[in-house]
Amino acid sequence: MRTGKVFIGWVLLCVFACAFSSCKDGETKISSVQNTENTLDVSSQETASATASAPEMRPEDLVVENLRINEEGTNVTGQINDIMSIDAKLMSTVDPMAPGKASSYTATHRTFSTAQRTMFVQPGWTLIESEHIPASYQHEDEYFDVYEDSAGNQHHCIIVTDDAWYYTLRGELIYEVEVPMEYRSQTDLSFATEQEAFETAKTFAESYGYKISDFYYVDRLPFEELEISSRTIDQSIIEEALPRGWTSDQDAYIFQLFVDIDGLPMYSVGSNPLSEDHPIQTGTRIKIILTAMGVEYAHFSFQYENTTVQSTGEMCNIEQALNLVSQTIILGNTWQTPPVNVDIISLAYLGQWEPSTGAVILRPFWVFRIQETGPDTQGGHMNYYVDALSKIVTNDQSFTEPEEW
Amino acid sequence: MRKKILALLSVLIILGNSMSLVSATEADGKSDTAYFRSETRSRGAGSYGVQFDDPVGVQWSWNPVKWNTNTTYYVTLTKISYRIPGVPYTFTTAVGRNDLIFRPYTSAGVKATDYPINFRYGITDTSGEIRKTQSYAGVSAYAHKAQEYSLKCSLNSTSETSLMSFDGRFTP
Repeated sequence: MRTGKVFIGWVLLCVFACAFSSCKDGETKISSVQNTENTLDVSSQETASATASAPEMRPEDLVVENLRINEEGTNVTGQINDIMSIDAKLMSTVDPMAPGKASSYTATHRTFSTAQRTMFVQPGWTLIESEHIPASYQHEDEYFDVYEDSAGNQHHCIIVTDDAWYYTLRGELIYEVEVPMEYRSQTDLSFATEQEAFETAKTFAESYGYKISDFYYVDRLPFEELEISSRTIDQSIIEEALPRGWTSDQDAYIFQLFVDIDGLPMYSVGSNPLSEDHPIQTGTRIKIILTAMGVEYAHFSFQYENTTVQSTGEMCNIEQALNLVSQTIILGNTWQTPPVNVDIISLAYLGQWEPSTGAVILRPFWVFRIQETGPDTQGGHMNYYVDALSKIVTNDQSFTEPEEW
Repeated sequence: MRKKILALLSVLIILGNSMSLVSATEADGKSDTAYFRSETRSRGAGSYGVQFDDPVGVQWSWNPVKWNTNTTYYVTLTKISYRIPGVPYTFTTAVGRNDLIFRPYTSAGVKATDYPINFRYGITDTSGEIRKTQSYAGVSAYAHKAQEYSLKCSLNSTSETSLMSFDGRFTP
């Protein structure tokens, strides 16, 4: 009985503590808003802050110390003075300290077109449904086709201006279900090893003319987890796609594949421009879902042709690129306030596109995702791009225009 | 007595979780919705792309795809904070006198609509979120079914604070 009372006492104490805490939180929020509303002299504070936060530092003072790359080549650590720590996931398919030669290329954008409408169609399929959206503005003719095979399975084939999809209803369902990261399998699925599955996905993608890098990302989704995560979506969708319910036939590998250019993968890190001349950053993106039934979902985005070498040169290495980025942060025009941490580093080809002419250029870049880590910051992040050939540094906001309102 | 309290607490926790699941599903529909975190914009720096979370946790993000034929899009902010120079970041429930402006762009890099969302004076609701809906109307040819979208955001030069940081989601 006494234990029971003590327990109740603790529960009540916790409830009061929680209530007090949320009440206090609420007060803080209100007072914060009032602070904002009452700020009168922002410009003078800005001046004071700028003076205080700009250390007397020269580019030659910035030295990468203790740069270490793990044996697998997947993680890099180091330090630049006390302004930049490096503890980053590394994605590089070549030696980051000696990446070797690479080229820059010109190419021409190519839309997915009427000629590619049947690119996924297999012999014996019958067209049973079709929606055609005629060309308008910057869009080409677009097709939403559904085929049926001899076993009665449906296959969706979609061609729009810059994207092509193939999927079965099962594949679409697996794509729609979002399995939390912690419930994705760390071990291979029973129907194929990861390597076997990758080879199948790669072969599928290459059959459409893409040269695929051996660098890829994969997620393993066990059907049990798909079933649990699918409970929040419309059950009629599941019944239509899986009349017999979830089975091990729906164990799925989801691959993100990359086009290979000179041994480097081609990425797309957002849409922010990397130069004045080409307002859009872009790249070919490929996603494939593979189950025991085969490829059940495939998405190809952005294609180009007429690739021509523009120039060839030696790429700067990771250390040189880090130095250039740290100089930009300390001496350049960026809102990020040191200290910062580099948490992702990659060496990849990035595409740039001028839609009005269709001109595409492909160049190798070191890309750094950098987050503020100071106590007065919210961990805001920004991508910095070091052109591995020209060594020009830009960031997400280098070529932005104000939004018209 | 202890068992009753524990049972009551369990029921409350389960109910709470169920309600948040339901509201998230109703609000967001299919996986057209994409999520972003720790986005920061500086006053007057211009508009640039929001980086969406990627399920694999890698550096680039897959842009959300508009599968439906709705003529509206919406942006929801789930956490907002601002920085006044010299003062630590402060969480807030209101965007205040800040022109935090979002606009979707097509994969071809053109404006998907002439009607951006401005969160100026927006205040979070009881769930701690601000959601604004806007229309593609008038330029519906820009917003196509199956089109990929990026979302660009800026903090205009007219804004009161120098930096805003925010989390949220975008449904094209």
